[in-house]
Amino acid sequence: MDSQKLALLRAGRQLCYAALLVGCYLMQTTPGFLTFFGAKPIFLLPLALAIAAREGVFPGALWGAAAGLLWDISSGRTSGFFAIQLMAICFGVAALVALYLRGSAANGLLLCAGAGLLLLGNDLLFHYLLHGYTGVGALFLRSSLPTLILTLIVCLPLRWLVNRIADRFDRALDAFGE
Amino acid sequence: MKDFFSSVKFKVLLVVLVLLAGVMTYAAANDRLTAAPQELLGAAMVPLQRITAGISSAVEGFVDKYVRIDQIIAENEELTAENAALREQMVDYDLIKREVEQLRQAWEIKEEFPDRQIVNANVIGRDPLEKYYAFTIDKGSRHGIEVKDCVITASGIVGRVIEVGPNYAKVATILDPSVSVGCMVSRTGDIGLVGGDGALAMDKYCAMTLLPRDTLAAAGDEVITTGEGGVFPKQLAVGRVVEVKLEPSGKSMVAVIEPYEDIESVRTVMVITEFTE
Repeated sequence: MDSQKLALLRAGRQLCYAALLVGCYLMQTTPGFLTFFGAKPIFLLPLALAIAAREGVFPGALWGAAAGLLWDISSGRTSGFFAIQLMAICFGVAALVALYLRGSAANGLLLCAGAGLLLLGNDLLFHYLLHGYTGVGALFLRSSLPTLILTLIVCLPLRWLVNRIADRFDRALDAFGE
Repeated sequence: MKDFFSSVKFKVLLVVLVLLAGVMTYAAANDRLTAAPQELLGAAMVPLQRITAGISSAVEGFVDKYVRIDQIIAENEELTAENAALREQMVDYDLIKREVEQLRQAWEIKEEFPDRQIVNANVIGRDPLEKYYAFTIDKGSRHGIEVKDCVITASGIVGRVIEVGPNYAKVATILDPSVSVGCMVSRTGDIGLVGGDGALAMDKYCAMTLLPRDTLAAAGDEVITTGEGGVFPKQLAVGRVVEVKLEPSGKSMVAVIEPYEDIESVRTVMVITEFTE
């Protein structure tokens, strides 16, 4: 009976993350939602980073890949472009938090900013610069940078939400002596 | 951490990584954006996206009404209660009105050009990374839409379909440098190619290139499609000339075009799936 409850708790935790992932995907793609001067935040990136920082390298990398796949769909990039990058980044972030960094909000923001710059820079490089499009520098300043700033703003509430879900399930698991 | 690299979990991650790389290679090799599993995932998301896009649209309408009602309150306070009750009904009314207007416009086009098969669609997705305002619509291959189909509104052309799933399609707009349309300045008859330009796209303008050096095109002229290339039917409105200048190479002229449709905020579109011109 106890083992069944334990399995349910563990599955419940992952289901909550899955629901959060779908919610973030919908918020990210809904036309006009949280759009300021033509820029809107990326929700999937801070969510994947928050889960990775909290859950560790293995689940973190898998959730990173899942978030990346959804981001590939919404952004119309070749399948795997963001999935592979986000998987590697989440793996790295989880390892950093496990070995060197405290899981504080400030560190979370810094990691999100770094990962965001890397991903947005790669996107500009592979989908604009290498195609020979003009005005890529201006695109970065007028589009990518505002997107990154808005992403950092939504990073904190998402991090709080992930921590709250994880804390609740941790407490329930503690009650079983796990 | 060293133990992790020799564990089963690390091997699982490597397998996932190889799978993702395989999916990416398959999609790239077949000149597609998505592979089959991801297409299914995208299709599953469409009903949810349709709901959230509807809610977003309704909330936007509600906010508009709220601002207007505020003005009415200032003018005539005794009507406040009545207006508040009518406000919610007005949101529904606006949505229905927009839909009727869209159907009416589609019907007019159909009357004028009976050979054109038109599918009405709603914009259900826009990603923050889209610098050229590409979007996702809620109709796909099940509704007869194919890659390269032309996407328009009653005001003018919007773009073309670049990827199709069973119940969704992705549309690249005419602000995207990868899209080019054979066009003509209607007053002078000068022919050129209208397409996106990285620098102009930020101001929501596109460029008409390859205009002859002695062109008489000027600001205010209307630009329409020529039908050359077979992707876009002829005589579709594209936009208005804002400025004509010499191309950097000096061999031809380029016109800056302001599209008739506000591509950043378009919510409903029509896809021309078939035409005979």
